[in-house]
Amino acid sequence: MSKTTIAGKFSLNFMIPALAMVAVALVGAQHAAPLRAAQSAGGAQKFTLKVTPKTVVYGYYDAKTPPVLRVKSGDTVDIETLITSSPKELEDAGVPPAQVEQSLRDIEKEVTDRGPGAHILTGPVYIEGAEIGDVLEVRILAAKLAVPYAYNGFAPGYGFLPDDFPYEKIKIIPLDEKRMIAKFAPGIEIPLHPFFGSMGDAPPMGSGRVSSNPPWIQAGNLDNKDLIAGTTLYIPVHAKGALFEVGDGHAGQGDGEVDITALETSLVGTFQFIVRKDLHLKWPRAETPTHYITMGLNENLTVCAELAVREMIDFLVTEKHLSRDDAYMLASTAADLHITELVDGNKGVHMMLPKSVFVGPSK
Amino acid sequence: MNRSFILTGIGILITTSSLSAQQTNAQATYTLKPTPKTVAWGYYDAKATPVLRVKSDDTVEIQTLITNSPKRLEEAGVPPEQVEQSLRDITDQVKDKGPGGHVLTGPIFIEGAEIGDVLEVRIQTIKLAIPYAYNAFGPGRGYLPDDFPYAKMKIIPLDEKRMVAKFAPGIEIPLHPFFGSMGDAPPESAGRFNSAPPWIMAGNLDNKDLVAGTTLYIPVHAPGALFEVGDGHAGQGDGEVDITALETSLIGTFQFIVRKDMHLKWPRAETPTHYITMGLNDDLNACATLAVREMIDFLVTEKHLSRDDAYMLASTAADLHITELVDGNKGVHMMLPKSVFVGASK
Repeated sequence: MSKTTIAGKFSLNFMIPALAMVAVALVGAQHAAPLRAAQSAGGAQKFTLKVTPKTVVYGYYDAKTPPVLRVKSGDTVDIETLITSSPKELEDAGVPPAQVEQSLRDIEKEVTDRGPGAHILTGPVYIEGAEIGDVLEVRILAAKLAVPYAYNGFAPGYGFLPDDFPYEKIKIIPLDEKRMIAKFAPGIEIPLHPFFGSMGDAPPMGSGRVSSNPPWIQAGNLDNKDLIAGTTLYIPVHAKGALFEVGDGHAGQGDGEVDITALETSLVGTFQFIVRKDLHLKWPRAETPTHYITMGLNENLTVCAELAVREMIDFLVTEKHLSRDDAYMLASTAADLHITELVDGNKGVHMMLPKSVFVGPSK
Repeated sequence: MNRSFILTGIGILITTSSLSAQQTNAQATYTLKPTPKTVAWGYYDAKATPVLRVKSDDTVEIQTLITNSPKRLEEAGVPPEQVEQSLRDITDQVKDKGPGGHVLTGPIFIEGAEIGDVLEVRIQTIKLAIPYAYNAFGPGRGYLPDDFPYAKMKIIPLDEKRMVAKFAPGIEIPLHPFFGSMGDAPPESAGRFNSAPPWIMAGNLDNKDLVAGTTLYIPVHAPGALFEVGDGHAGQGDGEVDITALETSLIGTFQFIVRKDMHLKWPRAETPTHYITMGLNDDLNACATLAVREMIDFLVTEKHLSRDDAYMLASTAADLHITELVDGNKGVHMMLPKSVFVGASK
């Protein structure tokens, strides 16, 4: 989701009064410390980053934010994230108090430096060796459900059809992890494909504290439903150490995210970070288990589409060594333009090319 | 696709008669071949003379032609014997062309269809007619005209057995044949309507998801509906960004059903896997708004959801795709998997 929106023009108070942290066990009670490293083979380490008032950034990406964890290129981190909501909001909507995470309560109580966005982002994680102009390769190894429910909501002034729905509504939707479906309503079940709405680096220092709402050159609130476990996300680095943050868990979502929320929930992810000195990108890109993805992010939807197509042509020329003309033709005949989201200030369009079109040595 | 940049000459399929009917019970099965007498070149028009009259529930096998000319195909490398005779005949003989560039087979008059009804078009089968497709772009066309201010055309062999297009060494595109253009006549006052922009009467939707097994619902704006079809695509990406797909000739089997009980403003579709609503406008944002509103209306009207639940389901389970960006009116379609309805959905 994206809600809070457009740089504070509205403030999405509607879903955010308070928060807190889990302190104990979201991921497993065996990890007591918020940060913990375990040696693994080859020098790469494995860390766990729990979500606490000391390990989150509430509503922004910023090159000046002190990191909460430092890792080396190649290291892996289990990261807990929290639903974009408050205990009160969730309880009012019908979540039993026992199912509201303690970490959300703690953060709601203790974190006072908030905004302009409304997402509780875990991080930032400092990746050693990442310099401005590099690319941070983020391998999303796992994305697991942390709570047995999600919510969907809309409110006046938000979403893609604010004039059609000038009032607020929130609905708690039970998640069945075993069957991997959301029980939307009697007779209606939505298949789950958990992903993080927001994953990003710090923006350039000169842009200051950037709202967690609009996705941009540092990625952030992409709300891209195709970035599921098994995906590798490539994010341009704009600050020393990259300063990766993640949150806004979605158990599922439609392309467009039209009412401004997805199946909003808390997720636990496993990420491996790799500093790529050999890659230089202007915009984020991704490779899923099945597709290559390029992205266009802009307040104008037409510009989004242009960016995504130009990025795909550049990808095909640079990485797959096609001629520019063939790249344009392949984009027209085999790559799909999807509307990522329409509701985050900057809109998003992504272009998806099935990896399976490359059947042999693609030169 | 859209242009006129790829069309200079065209002709008919020989074989038997252009129109033939076989009675089966009450409903009939017809065959409609493209000849200089059975095509509309470049337009939809309530005043166009029907080339075939059928009853509701009748089925018609319709042959359609690639949007191109024999000359350009041969120049691009198609062996002359692989250029269809029907394309040669039509190119030579049809003088009343434009404003669009598509050779559309029809119109077909469906008896009983009245203004305000809906024509239900069941696309039963779609077959390749030739073993090649082309893709092309040209100056002033496509979505990135400033990046590609020159013309290029490429012949792409189609392997019907494996259902792939051999785009280049090491690159194969899976085929999913569909008709770029399927539509009724627009309202009479719209006159002769360019076959390029899709609109309330459907037409040049260029929607890659309308594959065989899909039912398309098109508002009727003229007595008899006056259905036309053409612009075969062996495959395409959402967006059709360079202005062409895998352009080819296709043969389709269509059943037509007049729906007096339905009243739609915009076309809708049901594929084997999805419900589809559409937004068609020159502004992409307006396209998206229309497609979402149409999906909410569909869910309320047909699935009896509350409006709020419909909005929420659209946000959490339905996907907005950019249908095409290059046909004058752009297109966005919203796709909801039918599989979300697992039980009695009221």
